[in-house]
Amino acid sequence: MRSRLEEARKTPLFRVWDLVLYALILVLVVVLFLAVGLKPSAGKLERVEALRDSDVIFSYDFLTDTYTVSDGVEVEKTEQGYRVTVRTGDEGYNVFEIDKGGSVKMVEANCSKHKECVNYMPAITDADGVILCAPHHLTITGGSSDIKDPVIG
Amino acid sequence: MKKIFTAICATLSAVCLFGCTPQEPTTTLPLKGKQYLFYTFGVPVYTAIYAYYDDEAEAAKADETVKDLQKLFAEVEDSLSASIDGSSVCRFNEAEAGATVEIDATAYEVLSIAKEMYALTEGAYNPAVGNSVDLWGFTPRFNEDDYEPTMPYDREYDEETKFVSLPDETYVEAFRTLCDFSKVEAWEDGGKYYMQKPEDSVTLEGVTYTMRLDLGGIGKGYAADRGAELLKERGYTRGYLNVGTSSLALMESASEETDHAWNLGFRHPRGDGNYISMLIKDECVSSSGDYENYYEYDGTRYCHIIDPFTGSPIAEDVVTATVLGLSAAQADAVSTALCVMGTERAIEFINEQLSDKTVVFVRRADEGKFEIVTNAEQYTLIEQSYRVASRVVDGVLEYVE
Ligand SMILES: [Zn+2]
Repeated sequence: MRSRLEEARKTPLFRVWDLVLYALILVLVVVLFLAVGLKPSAGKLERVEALRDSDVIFSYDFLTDTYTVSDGVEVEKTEQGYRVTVRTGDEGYNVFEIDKGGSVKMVEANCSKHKECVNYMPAITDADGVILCAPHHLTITGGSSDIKDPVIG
Repeated sequence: MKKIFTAICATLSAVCLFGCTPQEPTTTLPLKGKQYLFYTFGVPVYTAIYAYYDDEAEAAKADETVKDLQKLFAEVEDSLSASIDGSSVCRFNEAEAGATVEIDATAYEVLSIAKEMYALTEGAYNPAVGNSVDLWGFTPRFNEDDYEPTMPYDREYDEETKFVSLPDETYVEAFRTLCDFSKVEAWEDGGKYYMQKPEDSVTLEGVTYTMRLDLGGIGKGYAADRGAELLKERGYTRGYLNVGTSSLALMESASEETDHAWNLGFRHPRGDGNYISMLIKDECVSSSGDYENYYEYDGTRYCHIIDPFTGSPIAEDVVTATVLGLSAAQADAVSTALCVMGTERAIEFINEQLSDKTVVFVRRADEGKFEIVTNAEQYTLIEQSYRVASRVVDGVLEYVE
C-alpha cells in the first residue's frame, strides 16, 4: 500500500496537482489577508447628525472635531466632548452628549412620560447607531443612510 | 433622400435612447440605496429608495419625493388623528349624539375601508372603541411628560408600574355599550362628505359620553398604501415604506440573490430581534401585537388592543398577528381582528376569508411557551423555542397539537 503511494507521488500528475493545491491555498491566504486587512473598518463612528424629520440641524465630525449647527440648537464644550441642546416648539427640549472617544447618548428630554429616547435607546457607537425621539420628531444618527432589510411588528 | 432617411432614423433612435427611459440616465451609473426617516402618527416612518444618486438631478428628485411623502402623511394625520384639534375624527368625537359632521375625503375613504373590515371580521375589528382606549390609558395624553388626571375616570400615574392603575368596572361596561360601529353612517353629497354619529350616549358622574373613533392603526396602513402609490407614480420600483414597523409597503430589493425579494424580519413579541423571516417583494404587510404599548398588573398584561366585545384589553391567546397580501390598511384591521379573535376563531377566519393570503400569528401556549400558526409556505424560523403548531392540508390551515 505504502509503496504504491510512494510510486504515485513520483508520477508527474500528482506533483502538478500538489502545486495547484499550494497555489490555491496561497491565493486564499492572500485574499483573506486583503479582505481583513484592507477593508475599511465598516461602521466606525466618524460623524453624528441630528435631524428634525429629514432635515439635518446639527452635525459633528469626529475626525476633524468640528460641527455645524442650525437655529434652535445650542452646543457647550464639556470635558469629554460636547453637550448639545435641541429645542422643540416653545418648551420641548432634548440634550445629548458627544464623547470624542466615539459615542453619543441622549441624556435629558421632556418629550414624554416614558422618555424612550433617554431611557431605552442605547448610546450610538457606530455608523449604524440611531436614537429616535418620536414626540419631538428628532433623530440622532451615526451618519449611515444604508438601506437595511425591513422589520414588521 | 437616403441621407434624410438616415437622419430621421438617427434622431428617432436618439429620442428613444434618451427620451424613453427617463429613469435611467445616459451613463451607466450605479443604482444606490438611501434610507430616509421622518415622523407621523407619533411613529418613525422609514423610506428606502433605490435611485441613481450619483446623478445630481436624480438625487434631488428622490429627496423631493420623500418631502412629498412627508406632506402626504401629515395630511392623513391631520385628517385622522384623534388628538389633533379640528381633524375629521376629532370633530366626530367631540360632536353630540346623533349629530351630522362634515368630514374630509381622506377620513371618508378610511372610514369606508374600516366599515368593510368591520363587516368582514364580524366586528372583531372595530374602530369605535375610542372611549375604552382612553379609559385604559392608551391615548397619547397618558404618555405626556406633564400628564395630570383630567377626566372623571382618570387615575393617578403609578410610579411603580410606570402607568395609570386599572379603571373602574362601571366605566368599562358603560364604554363597551358605546362602540356599535354598525350604527355609524357615512355618505357623499355634492362633492362633500358627511358622517352621522349614533344616538347612543351614557351619563356617568354628570358627564355624557358618546361614541369616539380611533382610526390610528388603519390610518398608518392607509398612509403606507398612499405613500407606495406616490413612489410608483414617481417611477420607483425598488425600496420600501415602513410606517412605525406596523405597516409596510414593499417594492423590490436590490438583491439579485433573492430575486429582488426583501428578507422581511418579524419582530419578536417577547424579546429582541426577529422570530421568523420571510422573502417578500411587491406586497403590503401589517401587524398588530400586545407588546407595542402595554403595562402589567399582578402578572396580567394589559395592552392597547381593545376587545370591542368586552371593552377591555384583549385577553385571548394571540399575542401578535401579521397579514400579507391585502392593502396595508386592510391588513392592519385584519391583524388587529385576529388578536381579538383568539386561535380557534382566527384559524376559521383565515380559512374562510384569507386562504389566498399569507398570515402568521403567535399564540400563548401552556407553561409560558409560545407557538406559531401560519399558512406561509416558506419562511425561516429564528426563535427556535417557538414551536410551529400548524400545517396546511388541501389548502386548509389546521392547528397541530
Ligand atoms: Zn424622546
